[in-house]
Amino acid sequence: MDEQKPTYEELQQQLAEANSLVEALRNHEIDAIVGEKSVAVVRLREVEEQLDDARRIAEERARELEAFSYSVSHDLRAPLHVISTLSSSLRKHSRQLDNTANEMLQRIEAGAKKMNHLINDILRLSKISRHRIIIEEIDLSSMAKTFFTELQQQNQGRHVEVRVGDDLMTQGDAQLLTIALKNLFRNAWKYTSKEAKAYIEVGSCEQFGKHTFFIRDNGVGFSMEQADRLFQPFQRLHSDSEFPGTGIGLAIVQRVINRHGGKIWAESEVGKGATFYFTLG
Amino acid sequence: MTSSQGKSIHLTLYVAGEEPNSHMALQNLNEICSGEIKELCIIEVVDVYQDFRRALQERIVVTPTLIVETAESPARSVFYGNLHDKDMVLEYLNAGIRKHG
Repeated sequence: MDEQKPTYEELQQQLAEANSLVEALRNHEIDAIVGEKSVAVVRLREVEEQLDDARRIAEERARELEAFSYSVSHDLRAPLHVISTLSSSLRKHSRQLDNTANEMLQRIEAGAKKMNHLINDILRLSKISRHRIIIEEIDLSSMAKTFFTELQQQNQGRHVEVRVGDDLMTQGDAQLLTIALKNLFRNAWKYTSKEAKAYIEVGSCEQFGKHTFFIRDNGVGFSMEQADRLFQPFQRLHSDSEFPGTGIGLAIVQRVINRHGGKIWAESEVGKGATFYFTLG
Repeated sequence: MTSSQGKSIHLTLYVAGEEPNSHMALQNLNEICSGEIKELCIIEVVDVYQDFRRALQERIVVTPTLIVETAESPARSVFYGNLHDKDMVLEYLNAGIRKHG
């Protein structure tokens, strides 16, 4: 028991020493570690700076691309407006046109309409990236129920069995999540349109240890080989005549989920429906 | 400071060659010791690449490490990092001189 207790002063000194080490480590002021057999060089700051540079460049590129698509879409609107206006003026003289000319006019009008949709979609997509996120408590259950009621009212001829889990609560941006969920629901609604007994389910489960929401349908589905194209803008897995659309919906959904720090993925089999899973942060 | 004449502060700085933080620590230490206390400072620089055994004996775990010792006090103080807070180190050295000087 002859071991001496450290004095108050010694303890103070040890504490100061420990603080100095912690600070030096935190500020990346350490450049080598002395081991029992050799000295290891530490270059944390360099690695971190390189990562920061790479991140900055990537963000800059994304911003540039965003600005580019935004301005292009805006610029395209003016000439498109000219085409639409002139073709509707021409429509007034349709009696003077022969059948071939009328058919061509119809195709011009349809093309202009489609282009208008695409431009609006590009603008919508870039809006998601510019949106300032405000996090609040979100009730996905009531959100889902409202959407389905709306869809049911708009499509009274259809009968879809809808099941929405209770208390699907989460944290997120209300505006963005509304857009994302609406897109997912509309998709499920659309791709079950050819089923005699359409079924859509919204719920939550545990996937890879994370709280995950899902929306499942028994629609046409898709081949998993094409899954990587699913979330790319303007990529469509079905023909326009079969299921109309511009191919922007899932790109928007993915962007919303990404902005929440979450992940989205899908599982499907042709003819056996699809399930979209997503996490939020 | 005249009362502290003849006393000395032994400063041993352990560095890893010309690594950036080691280089900066030496520069800062020279600046710290360039003022009024210049006469009292005895600076020794140990490069752990050159004198690995010494680093082990002194239980140096990282570089840069500055060890401050005075003849009057058995306790030694240790500072880690590139000594960017020169005022803090200087203040400590001055306090030591006042106390033991």
